[in-house]
Amino acid sequence: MNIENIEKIYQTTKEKVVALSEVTYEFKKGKFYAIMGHSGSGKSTLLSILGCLETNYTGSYKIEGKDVSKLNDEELSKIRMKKIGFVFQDYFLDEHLKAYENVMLPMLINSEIKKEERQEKAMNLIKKMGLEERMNHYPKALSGGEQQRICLARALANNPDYILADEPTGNLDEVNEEKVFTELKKLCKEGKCVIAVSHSNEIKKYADEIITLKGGKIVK
Amino acid sequence: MSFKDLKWLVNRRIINKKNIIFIIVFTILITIMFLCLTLVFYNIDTKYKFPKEDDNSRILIAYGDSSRYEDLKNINHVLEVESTRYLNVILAPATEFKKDDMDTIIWVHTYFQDLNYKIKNGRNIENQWEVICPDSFYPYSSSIGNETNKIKPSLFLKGTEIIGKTFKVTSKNEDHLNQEYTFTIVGTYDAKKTTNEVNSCYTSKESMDYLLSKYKGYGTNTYSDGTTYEIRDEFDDVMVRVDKYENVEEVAKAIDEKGFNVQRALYVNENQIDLSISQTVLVFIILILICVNIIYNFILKKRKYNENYNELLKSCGYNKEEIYNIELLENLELVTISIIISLILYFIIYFIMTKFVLMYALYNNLRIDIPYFGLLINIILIYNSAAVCSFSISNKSKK
Repeated sequence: MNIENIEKIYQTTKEKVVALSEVTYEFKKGKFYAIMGHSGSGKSTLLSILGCLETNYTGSYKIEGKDVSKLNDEELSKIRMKKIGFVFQDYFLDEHLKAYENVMLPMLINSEIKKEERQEKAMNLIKKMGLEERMNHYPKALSGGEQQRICLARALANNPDYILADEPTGNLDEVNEEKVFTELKKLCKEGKCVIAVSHSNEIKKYADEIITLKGGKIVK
Repeated sequence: MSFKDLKWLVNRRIINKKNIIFIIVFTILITIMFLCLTLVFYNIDTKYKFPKEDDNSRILIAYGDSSRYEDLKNINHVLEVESTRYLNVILAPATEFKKDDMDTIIWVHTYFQDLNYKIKNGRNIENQWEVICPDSFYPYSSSIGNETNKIKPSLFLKGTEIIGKTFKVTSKNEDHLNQEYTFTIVGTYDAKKTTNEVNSCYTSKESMDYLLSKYKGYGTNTYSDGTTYEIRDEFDDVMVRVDKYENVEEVAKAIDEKGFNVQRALYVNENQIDLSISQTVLVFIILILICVNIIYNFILKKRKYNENYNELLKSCGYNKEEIYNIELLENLELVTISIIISLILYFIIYFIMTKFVLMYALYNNLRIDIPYFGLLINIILIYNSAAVCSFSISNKSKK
């Protein structure tokens, strides 16, 4: 992922808020990137742009050489489906679906995965997270750490190259935080690019590179 | 995303607190709409359909030079010209049918060929002292508000049960005063297409000639010397029987042009009916607007409530169209569930009302028909509202 001179401005009725300014960086596969900074420094905005969720910005953004800043909604959706997996602070698991069904959710729109293969694939991902005995449970029956690992399994559903995690351990205790960061690190060793936003200093033990944002700019 | 997957996802998510509340509220609203619509169509039937089914609506009463009454037969669309004497009925005490301390009574009318009643059991009248009665026969008095004569649906007699049964009548004819005659029920007619009471039987003119009084009324007058004498009011007017309800106006005009006084036997208060129609249509329109309002606000609130979920789907790679389709299908399924429950409730209420509560309607064969076509249009309208609201809200949020 290559971003160049990314600028994001929020226009309120009273003022202009510069969320990001002159942000340039390259994210490579096989590496763990930690984005850190105070609240309001632009971390989540940057992650939204990297995840193709935010499209209203200036600058250049390329994924594997393809300029995604000019793509339409359908094309961006395909990129998100194939290339990017998300992990959120609040998990965002569908409470009406069992654990393995939550993991299957991204597969429903992936025509490359056959219907008969989905459940097996989802179960394998959950096993990989060490939660085999929880796969038929609903989110309410899972602890915070378990829910986050199911989220991680969901993020891997379509075998993306990039994992974007927004405060993945924000609601977890130390033990579960360690488990989640360990899993993320494993993914890097498997060749994926992990970009995680975090307030926790624990992430420094796992990250290959630390990006600090201050006032919307990368601080060196 | 395949439709099967879409349906699977929607069905897994559809049962939640907010949706259940919506289904309850919407079901109640739609049921009320269906009932209101039934009333609208009933009022429309009262103006346009029932008068055609009321035999009296094809009858005009003409009064004038009695030597020229025969001329009226030459008017186009006139079937018969007869004395208004035959508009009168004979009341039979019908004690032969007495049950459960109920007051019995049968109304005996004169049968004219133009009535053309459909015979459901037995046969039509061929001989004197034969009658045809309603196929769902209730030979009891109806006194609304009188508990002892409360209409009991269980006492309705089927057509097959009454063939061959007899009942006595007493003559009011001055030449046969108080003589008793026995009627035999030879057939039953489909009274549902008429507005007759459920104890209205019909016999031939020949039988009625023996039973009906020869005079309209009686009176007493006094001579100058103080002695009194009886006055007998003769039947000096005639009923003109028209072939179709639609032709009554034309025939009335023709009778008037011939120099006779003419009036309808059945007066339909069209102003009152128009008012009823307007009122029920207005209520229905208000209900539609409430319905659309509820759908719109519910979908809007649901969208806000589902913001996070939609962001999750977006992050998984779902495009806007796929997210919209999930929302739309869920909304349509909720509406479908509400409509199905409403229809069930509606039919239950309709059945209870028509069979047990609206006894007056039951007694007078006043049909409150289920307006199937109206219900279908109503359902299509509701679906369209849901689809349009979904689309409109989705478009708004795209901007």
